[in-house]
Amino acid sequence: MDGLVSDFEAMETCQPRKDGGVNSAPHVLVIDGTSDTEAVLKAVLEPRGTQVERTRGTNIPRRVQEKTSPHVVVIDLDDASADATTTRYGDSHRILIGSVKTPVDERDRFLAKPFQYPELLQTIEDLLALPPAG
Amino acid sequence: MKKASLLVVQGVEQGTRFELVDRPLALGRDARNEIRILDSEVSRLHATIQRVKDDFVVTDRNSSNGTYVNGTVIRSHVLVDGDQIRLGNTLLLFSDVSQDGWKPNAADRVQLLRRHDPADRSSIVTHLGQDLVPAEVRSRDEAADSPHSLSVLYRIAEEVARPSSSLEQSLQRTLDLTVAAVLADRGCVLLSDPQTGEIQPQVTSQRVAGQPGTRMPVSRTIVDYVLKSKQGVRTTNAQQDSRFDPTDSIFQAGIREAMCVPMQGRHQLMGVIYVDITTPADYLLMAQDKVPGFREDQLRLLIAIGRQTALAVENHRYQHAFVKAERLAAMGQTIATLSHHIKNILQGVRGGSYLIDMGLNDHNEDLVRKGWHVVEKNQNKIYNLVMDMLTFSKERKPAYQQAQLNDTVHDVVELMQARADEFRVELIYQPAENLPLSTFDPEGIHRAILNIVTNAIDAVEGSDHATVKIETGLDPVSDMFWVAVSDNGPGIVEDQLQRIFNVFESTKGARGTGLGLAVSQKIIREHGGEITVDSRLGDGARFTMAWPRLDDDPHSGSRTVA
Repeated sequence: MDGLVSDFEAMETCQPRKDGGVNSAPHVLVIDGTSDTEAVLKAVLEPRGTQVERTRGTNIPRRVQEKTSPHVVVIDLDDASADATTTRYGDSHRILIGSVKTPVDERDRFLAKPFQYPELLQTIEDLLALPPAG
Repeated sequence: MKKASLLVVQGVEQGTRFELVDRPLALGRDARNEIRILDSEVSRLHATIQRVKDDFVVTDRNSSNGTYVNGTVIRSHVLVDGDQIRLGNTLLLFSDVSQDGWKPNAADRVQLLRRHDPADRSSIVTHLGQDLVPAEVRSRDEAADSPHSLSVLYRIAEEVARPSSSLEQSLQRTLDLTVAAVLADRGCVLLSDPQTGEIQPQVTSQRVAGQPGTRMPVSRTIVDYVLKSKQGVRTTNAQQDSRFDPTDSIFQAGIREAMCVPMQGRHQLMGVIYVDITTPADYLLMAQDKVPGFREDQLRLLIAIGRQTALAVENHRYQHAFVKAERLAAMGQTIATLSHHIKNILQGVRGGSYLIDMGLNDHNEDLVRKGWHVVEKNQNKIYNLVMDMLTFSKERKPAYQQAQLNDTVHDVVELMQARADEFRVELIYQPAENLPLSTFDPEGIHRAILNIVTNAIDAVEGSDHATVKIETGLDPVSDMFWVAVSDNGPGIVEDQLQRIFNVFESTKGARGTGLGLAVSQKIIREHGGEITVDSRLGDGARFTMAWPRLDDDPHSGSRTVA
């Protein structure tokens, strides 16, 4: 069993599932980066009903796709592995954060480091309001 | 003020420079030596260096394997600039720039005579190309001097290949040998400036003491001829038809002969070597037509020396350019890595501040606390970064004292508990029972362990049953203290294992500075120990820091444990 599967299992009851199970609670997944981003997003978004989780390590795309389908994925390009940054996570929108300007799809967003947290939060809220990216 | 120093040119700490001071310094393997040599072939107290008036004297302290200076075993030896000291397998280069400090600038000791200067009446009597085809031996003197020339060339070759702190020092030693070898009175090396091409005196040498303040006349016409023709020349300031005319003013002053040879590098002319000799007028009167001067075989020798010296100058310039480029690259990498890490820390501070601001506006104390927690965490990161940088630099010296290793490790565990809890990592501490008090640098060892425990927690974060175990012990066989940090994380890829102790080499991406392990290794090495890593991909990692129990009975009898 991979490292974070148990974490995602704990989230199963409230997340959209690959098998068609539906839960409308928005879900933001932070991939890699420092734990500060997760801490700030949790503090602000969770009281508003949005679940925030962070994952790091190996085989992230496979683990994420097996168990969850987040609405928005926040990826730290400076820290994440190549497969984690190039993979699409179901219908999710991606926010790519990096030191070097990177072109992104229409359904994704890019934030340059150092970013302002209101900017990140606003971007997440904008994306959560959009229909799924698929 | 420039100081004397010892540079490690071979050994574990290659590249480290130790500055020498007025008080005596001890060299050896023991941690309490001012100059610590990490070499198992070096005795605990191997030698001492102390200043005696203007000199530095190295003295062997009954070492097992002896102290060597320039390949010769010594008991006590007055060091001169460029001396190489060998202790065990470690080679140290002694540099003392201050030894040259009294010497005036070479340019002040050379008078470059302008073209058509009335004082410049030199004319070329012999010129030779650089293709030194074997010449017919013309005299007994030449035949007798052949082995001498070989010996000189051998010594010059040794000299130019010898490590030196500056090009000037290397050229000075070479010129001193050259002037003595060709029996010249004086000599100078003139180098072309790489940028402007301007020819400038670099070093001078004088075998025969001259009048104080006398400058060595160098014919610009001859130098230009040598630079243009790339031929070595022998010159005299006596005109063929007036050489022995006692009414000639040149005769009154003595006849001056000179040799000037090109310093031809691989690709360009680096400059010239110019030597001269003056035959006094009274000697001329007695000698009649047998005026002593330079011979053709000496010109040939000088041409060969010129070539060797040019190659040495060229190599020195290449090396200088290479070191400069490396230094710039290292500086760039340092700035980039540290800026990146500091930027990440500031990003965290910004996040914490945002939460505090939001909490204050909403009168939400919980939000303020969460924000403060983020700020505090990043404040610790900055503190640790600064401490790592200071430890890695030469600013911090180990402060040895008697302490309980278990207490130091316990402090680390306590400090890291909050981080472990946050990342859902179980921290297990297994201290050895009855561990004796020992002499070590508690602050340094604390930092060394802290960095490795931090890495271990980062490595297992997100793993199932993430666990970091810290153990201590004293190996009775090797008499070494050890601290082991094991984790059940993803392990380390084999090819990364070779590089993880390199500075700025991080496997943690944006979260790592690449300083932690390098700092830990430096501290453990300061204690005479090593860090070993046992790891396989997918099977966790175990870092073991081990160092010898320090002898609490100071060898010199003059130092005590604090």
